[in-house]
Amino acid sequence: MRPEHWKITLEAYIDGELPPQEAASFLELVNTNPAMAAEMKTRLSLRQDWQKALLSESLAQSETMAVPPIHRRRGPIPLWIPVALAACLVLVFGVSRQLSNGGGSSYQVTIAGQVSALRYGERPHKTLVLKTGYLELPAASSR
Amino acid sequence: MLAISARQETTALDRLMAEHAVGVFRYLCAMVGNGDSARDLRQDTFLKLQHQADHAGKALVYTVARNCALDYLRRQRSRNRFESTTDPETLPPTSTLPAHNPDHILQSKQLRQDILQALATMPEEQRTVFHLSEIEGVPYHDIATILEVSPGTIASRKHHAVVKLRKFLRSRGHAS
Repeated sequence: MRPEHWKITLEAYIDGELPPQEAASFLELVNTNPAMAAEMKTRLSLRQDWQKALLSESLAQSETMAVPPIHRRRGPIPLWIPVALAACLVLVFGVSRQLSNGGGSSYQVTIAGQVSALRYGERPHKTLVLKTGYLELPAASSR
Repeated sequence: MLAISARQETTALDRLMAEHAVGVFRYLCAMVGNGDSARDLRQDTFLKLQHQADHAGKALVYTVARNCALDYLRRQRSRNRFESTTDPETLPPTSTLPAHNPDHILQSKQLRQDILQALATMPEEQRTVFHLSEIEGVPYHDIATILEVSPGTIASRKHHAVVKLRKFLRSRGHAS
């Protein structure tokens, strides 16, 4: 086994990544080689030191307690809010419509449209009387 | 319906945070080398996970954490500044084991700082592999998913990271 390959295998072994059979045969190999056995011992000891340095009981406890609150989505919207919004919209729409119909304004129609309506014998609606100053058409023209 | 869904989401997020908040924080510390930034990034991580907390496993949690760290590092790089690990005040508290021996505490603190400094000199992917495998015990398969490489590549990167770390620590007078 090449030195680099065996060290990669050693890492995999101590990380528990080798399949059981492979791990067993690797351990046998290590036990027959004092240099390999010493290296494994050193590596395991280093791992312990590194974990001790970076993992900390006190850190774990304080961090678990001090997990900062995160901004969560608010709870469900109460039912009355969309209903009230819909009612407001209907009200606004209705009022604006009413104002545009009965508030003294008249329909905007084109002279050309009225003339062509008369030409084809249609009776223009009463409200479609044109008061343009150029042309005045009767509200109900007889044929 | 909405209320139930929101409640489930919250519960799943709480579970996720209880399981991974500490590990993610440590990982982010190793990635960015600054405790305060790591705290902010952890918050970002869980914010991003809140809508998929139900089905988030270790791999997804660390993938999101890594992306947050990478975004942060990219922003830092654009400012041409990397927050070094030398400020002990901003780092998480060191190990208190064994608690009664000040020499051990000091040694452990020094070792922690040196490890973090060594990690800061490694390429980001090596740093991720080392920390997740060695410290958090994440399986190679999950790290491979996070980094989108094969488990064999993870084994090789882990080995190279360990070699670099040992060399660095030896130069600082630690046993390795």
